[in-house]
Parts: sequence; C-alpha cells; structure tokens
Amino acid sequence: MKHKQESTFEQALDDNKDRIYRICRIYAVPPIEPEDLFQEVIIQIWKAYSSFENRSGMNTWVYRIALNVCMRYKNKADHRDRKTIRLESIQFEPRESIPDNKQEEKFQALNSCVHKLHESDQSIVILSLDELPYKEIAKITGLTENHIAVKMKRIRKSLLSCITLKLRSDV
Amino acid sequence: MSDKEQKFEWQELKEIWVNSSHTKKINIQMSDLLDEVKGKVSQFEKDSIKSDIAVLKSHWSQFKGMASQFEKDSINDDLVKIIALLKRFLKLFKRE
Repeated sequence: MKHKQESTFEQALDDNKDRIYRICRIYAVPPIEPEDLFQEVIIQIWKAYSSFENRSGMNTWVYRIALNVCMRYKNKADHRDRKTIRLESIQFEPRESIPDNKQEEKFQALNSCVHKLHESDQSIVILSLDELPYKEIAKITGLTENHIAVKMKRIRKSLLSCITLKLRSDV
Repeated sequence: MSDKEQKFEWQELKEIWVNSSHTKKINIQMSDLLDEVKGKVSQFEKDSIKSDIAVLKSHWSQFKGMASQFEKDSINDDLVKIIALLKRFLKLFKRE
C-alpha cells in the first residue's frame, strides 16, 4: 500500500501543476525553459515535503516554494552554466486546442508588464491573478493583509495601464 | 476609466493569466516520479552546492584585496587583545 505521505504529495502536484506551470512561464528567462523550472520546483517540493506539517495549507505552501525557486532562478540567470534536472516521468505535450495568436500576444503583453514591476510586487500580482485571498498572499509574502491591499490597488492600476498601452501600440 | 470598466479589464487579465498554462498539457507519471525524485535529489543537492560555491567564489574575488590597512590593523589589535586576555585566564586556571 502506498505511503500516505506519498499520496498527499501526488495529490498536491496534481492539484497545483497548472498553477506551478503558470509561475514558471512568467519567470523563465532564456535559455531556461518553463519546463526546466517546473521540474526544479517539483524536486524542491519533494525535498521540503518531509518537513511540512500543516497539510491543510498545502496549496499556499506549494505556491511559496514555486515562487522562491523561480525567483532564485531568475536572480541566477547570469550563470548560464547552471544545470537543470530532467525528470522523464513528467511530459509536456502541446494541447490539441492551442490558444490563438491573439491570446499569446495578450500573455506576452502581461508578461512584459509584470516584469516592469518591482520583484516583490511581481509575486503579489501573480498570486492575486490566481485569485488567492489577501490572507493567503500575506502568509506567503510575509506582509500584512492591509499592506497587500494597499499595494494591490497601486499594482492593479499600473498593470492595467501598462497592458492597455502595450496592446494598443501593438495593434 | 469607470470602476466597471476597470473591473472588467482586471477580470480579463485574470483570464489571460489562467489561460497561460493551457499551452501545454502536463502529464505526470506519479509512480515513476516518486522513484525519480528520490534518486535525483542527492545529485540535485550536489549540483546546487557546486553552483553556490561558484557564486561565492566569483563574489569573493570582487572583495578580495578591498580590506583597507585600517581594517587590517583593527583586526590585528583585536586579536592581540583577545590573545592577551586568554593568556591571563590560562594563568588564573594554572594557579588554582
């Protein structure tokens, strides 16, 4: 019979794989691919998993690890010789219904605008776009809920204005 | 821009964000993954340590030689005082 810890780990990955991939997509800087980052995050989750106690806060914890790994990777992007691990058990396949060019263009505009934000604001906006409540964002970032609310008001305005300008100029 | 318009646009950003993971389908063979991660964690740790040492070395070369004569003299003075104090303690212990 499978160990309970392993089953919970598998469940956590299954529930969060798309969220992790989104974070990896936004932080991956060439030559590092989102798929490489994704695998690093999985390894890191496994490494930290044995010491994780609060199973109820699993999603928050997974977000925190994904953000930490991706931000650390981005900061080390200058070290091009950094090796990445390939996990054969994870396969990425193009979807049958690939998003159209317009969709991709919008994502690239969002990506570019997120990168214009301060590093700490980037993680807040990513979590907010994933509809995490301020209480959870506060747990992950270590800021207070009030601080997050104030920051989000400013970030939302700046992000909306950036993406509106970007998409308008690309038309 | 009215509040209503702004809210709609934020909602649109959320949709772009959520759809951004729809470019790839992620298949994870869970049973194989567990075997793989267990086997690769040690190698990952070794590579991470190597990479961190490389970073430390490259940064150290920037600071090497940057200590001023004043800092060196200060450390020297401190060491002389610490050694003198230790010697006094040792003498006290020997008497007892």
